Amino acid sequence: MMHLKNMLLSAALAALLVTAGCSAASTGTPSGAGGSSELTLRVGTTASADGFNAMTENGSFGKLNYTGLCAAPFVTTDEKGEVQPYMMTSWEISDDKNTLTATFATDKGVTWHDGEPVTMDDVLFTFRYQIQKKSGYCTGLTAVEKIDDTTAKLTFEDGKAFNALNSMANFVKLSPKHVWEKVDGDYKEYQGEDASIGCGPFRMTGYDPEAQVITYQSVGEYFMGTPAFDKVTVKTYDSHDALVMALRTGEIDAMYDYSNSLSATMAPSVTGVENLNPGMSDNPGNYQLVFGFNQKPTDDLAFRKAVRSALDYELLRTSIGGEDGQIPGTGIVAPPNKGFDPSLPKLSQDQEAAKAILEEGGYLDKDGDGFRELPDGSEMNVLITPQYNKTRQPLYLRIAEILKANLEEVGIRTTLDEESVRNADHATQVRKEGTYQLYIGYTSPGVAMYDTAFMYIIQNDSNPWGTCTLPAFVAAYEAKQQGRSYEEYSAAMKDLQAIADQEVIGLALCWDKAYFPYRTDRFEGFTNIPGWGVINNKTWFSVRPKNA
Amino acid sequence: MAKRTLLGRLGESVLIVFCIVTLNFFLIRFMPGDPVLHIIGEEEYYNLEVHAPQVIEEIRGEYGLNQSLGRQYLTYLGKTARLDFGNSYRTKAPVLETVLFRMKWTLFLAIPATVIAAFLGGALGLWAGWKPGGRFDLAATPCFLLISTVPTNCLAILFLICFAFQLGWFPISGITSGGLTGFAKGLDILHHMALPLAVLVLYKTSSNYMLMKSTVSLIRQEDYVSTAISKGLSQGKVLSRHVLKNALCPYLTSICMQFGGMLAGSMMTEIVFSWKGMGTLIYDAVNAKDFPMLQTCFLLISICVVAFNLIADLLCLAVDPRVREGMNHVG
Repeated sequence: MMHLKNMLLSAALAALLVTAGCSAASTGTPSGAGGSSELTLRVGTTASADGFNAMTENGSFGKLNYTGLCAAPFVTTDEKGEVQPYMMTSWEISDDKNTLTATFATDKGVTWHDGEPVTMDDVLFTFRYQIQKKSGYCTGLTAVEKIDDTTAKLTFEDGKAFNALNSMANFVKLSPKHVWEKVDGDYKEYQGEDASIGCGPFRMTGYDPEAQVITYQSVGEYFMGTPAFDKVTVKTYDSHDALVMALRTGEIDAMYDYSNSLSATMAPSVTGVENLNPGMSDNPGNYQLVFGFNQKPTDDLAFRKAVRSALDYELLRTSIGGEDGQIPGTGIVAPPNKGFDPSLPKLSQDQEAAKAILEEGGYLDKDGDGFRELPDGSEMNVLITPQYNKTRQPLYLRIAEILKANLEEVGIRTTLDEESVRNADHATQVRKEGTYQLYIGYTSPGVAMYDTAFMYIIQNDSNPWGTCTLPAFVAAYEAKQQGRSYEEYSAAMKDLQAIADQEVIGLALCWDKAYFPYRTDRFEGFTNIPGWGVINNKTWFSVRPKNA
Repeated sequence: MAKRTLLGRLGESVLIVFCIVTLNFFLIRFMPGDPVLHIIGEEEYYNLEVHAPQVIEEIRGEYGLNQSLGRQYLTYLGKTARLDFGNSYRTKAPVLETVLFRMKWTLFLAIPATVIAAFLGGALGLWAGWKPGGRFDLAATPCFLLISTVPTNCLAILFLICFAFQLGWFPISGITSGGLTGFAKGLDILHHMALPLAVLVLYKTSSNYMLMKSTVSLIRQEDYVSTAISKGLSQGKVLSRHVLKNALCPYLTSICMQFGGMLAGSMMTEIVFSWKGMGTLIYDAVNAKDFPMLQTCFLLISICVVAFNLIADLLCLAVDPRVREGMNHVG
C-alpha cells in the first residue's frame, strides 16, 4: 500500500509542479503589446498568419493590406463606397471610357520600407504585372504608358476604365520594382525577407510564430498623415469566441476580419459592455433568394410574385439578423449601397394573396394531395439549393427550412438540394449551369459595394452566376457597369431596383447588421465603415490615444 | 524465431503506412471545394471567376491540379520518397519546416499530458480497482465517467470561460504573449500551457483510470491473487508483484496508442486554446484544401501510430512472459 501511496504522491507532485509554475508566471505578463513603452494599437483577427508576401492576399498580412497598413493602394473607398485618392492622387476618364489618365504620389517623398524612393517605374511595373497576370481587379486594362514622372495613361477596352477604378480600390497595391524584378518564377511563391516591403504608413518589423503576433512600426511622417501611435500588433485567434473574450478582457483594442463580421447571435456578448463598442453598422451585403430563369416554374412572373408573398419575412429577419436585422425592400440592395432607393416598399407576407396569384396563374391542386401542379397539369416540386459554404451552412439550412415551410403552406411542394449541401463541386456546377430553381446565396460587402447582388442574378457573356436575361434588366445592368460617374451608376441602380420590384428577379431575405467591436478606453477617432469595421484605411491616420 | 517475427511485424508496419498514405492521397482529393481559391486568395478568385475564368484553369495547371489522379499520385510518391514535401498552397512556405515547428508545440503539450495522465490514471485506477465499492471508488468513478463522456472541446470551452475569461487566472489563447525572451518567456509559455494541459490530463486520466480500474477489478478475483494474500504477502507486494504486472500489458498498449495518436489527438483542445500545434495546422489545411500540408501531416501521424503500435507489441513482449511464450509457439 505504501508503494501505491508513493505512486499517487509522485503523480500529484508532477501535476502540481506544472500548474504551480504556470501560476507563478501569471504576474507581470504583457498582453500582446510586447511590453515596451511604445504606444501600440492591438488588433485581433481570425485570419491566420500565412506568410508575408505582399503579392498575395492570404492570411492576416494579406488581408490587413486591404486597409493600406503596410502596402499602399492606388485608390481606396470611403464610407459610401466611393473611390478616393491614395497613391493615385487624381484621375480623368476619357469620354469613351477607354483611357484613364492619372497622377501618382511619386513626388511626395514616399519611400519603400527599405529606403528606396517610390518612382513612376514602380507604377508602370505594378500595372504591367496586373496586365500580365490578367488580374480580375483590372479587367479590361491593356496598356500603361508613362507621360511624365508623376503621370501615366492607362488604356482599357470595352469602356471599362471607371469599372476597373472601382474594382481595384483597396485591392491593387503599388509594388516595388527593385524587389520583384530580381525574383525568378511566380512572385507569389517568393519567401525572401523583402517580400513584405511596401510603402504604406507602417512597415512590418517582426512576426512571433509562437504568439501568432505580427508587429508593424510606424514610418513616422507620411504623405497621407502621421499616425498617432508607434506600433500595430495583429494577433490571430482561432475563433470569434476567443477574439471576443480577448476584446472584453482588454487584450486587444479592435477586431479586423475583412468581411467576416461577428454573427448576430454573438451581438449580445459585445453589447452593453463597459468600454466596448459593438461596432454595429448596416451590412452592405445581404442574404438573397435568386430565381432560376432557365427552369419552370421559377421563370414565371406569377409564380415569383406568389413566392414573394408567401414568405415570413419577420422570421427570416430574426433568423438571419437577430433583433437588429431589418425586413428588406423589394429592390434587393441594402441601404448602405450607392444608388439605394428608399422609396420602394418593404417585403411583407400575405399568404392569401400568394394563393390567389397561384390560382390565377393556373397552379391548381388537381389531384387533391394538398400540393399544386404546374399549369399544364404535371407535378410541381421546386428545388431549394443553398450556396455551399461551410461557415454559413447552418444558417443556409435554417433559411431553407423557413422557405420550405412557407411555400408548402401555400401548396408549393419543395425539396432541399441535399447534394449541394454536401458537395461544393456539385453546388458550383448547379450554379454555373443555371439549373437551380430557388437559390439561396449571399452577397458579400465587397461585391455589394460595386458589383451588387444583381451580379448573382444576371446572365451575360462575362457573368456565369445568374440566369436572368430579361432585356430591360440586362440593359440596366450594362448601364451600371459602363457608368462613367457615380451619378450614372446610381441612376442605373435605381432602374435595377425598380425592375427587381416589378419583375421579382430575386428577393433579399434580410438586411442585417455587421458587428466589428472595438474598445473605447485607450483610443478614439475610429471610423466604422459599413462591412469593414473600424480597422480600415482611415484608422492609421485618424485614431489617436484617448484624451491625448 | 522471434527475430523473424519481429521483421515480419516491421514489414507489416511499412505496408500499413504505404496503404494509409495512398488512402490519404485519394481521400484528400475527394474533399469538396477548390484549392485554387486558397492559392490565389478569395477576392481574386471570385473576381477571376467572373471576369477571366480561364486564368483559374491556368493556375490549376501550374500546380498540376488538372492532371489525372494517377499521375498526381505517382508524382507525390516520387517526391515523398525523396522527402520533398513541397510548399504549402496557402502559406507558400516549405511544408516540412512548418510541420516540424508545429509538431514541436504539439509534443510539448501532449507528452507531459500523456505521461502525467498515464501515472495518474494508472495509480488511481489501481487504487479504485483494488477496493471496488470503497469510498475512493464511489467518489472518483462517477467523476471520471462524467469527464470521459463529455467531449474534449466542451470541457476545454468550460475551462476557458471559467478560468481564463471569468476569473482571469490564465491567458485566453496562444502559446505565449509575445515580446518576451529567456526565462520570462519560459514562464509565460507554462502559464499559457496550464489550461490546455489540465484539460488533456483530465481527459486522458479519466480513460486511463477506467481501463486500469476494470482490469484490476478482474485480476483481483483471480485465484493466484487469493493465494498470494492467503500466503500472507503484504497488500503492496500483492499489488506490485501480481496485480500490476498482469494489468500492465493492456495498460501499456493503451498508453502507447495514446502516444501514437498524440500528434492529432489534441486537435480540439488546440483549437479552443489557439495552441498552434499540429491540430490547428491540420484544421486550417483541411479548410484551405492545402494538399501538400495535409499529406505530410497524415504521413507523419500514420508513421507515429504504426511505430507506437510496434513499440506496444515490443513492450508487451518485454513485460509479459505469456506473450513471449505464445510467439515462440507460433514461430
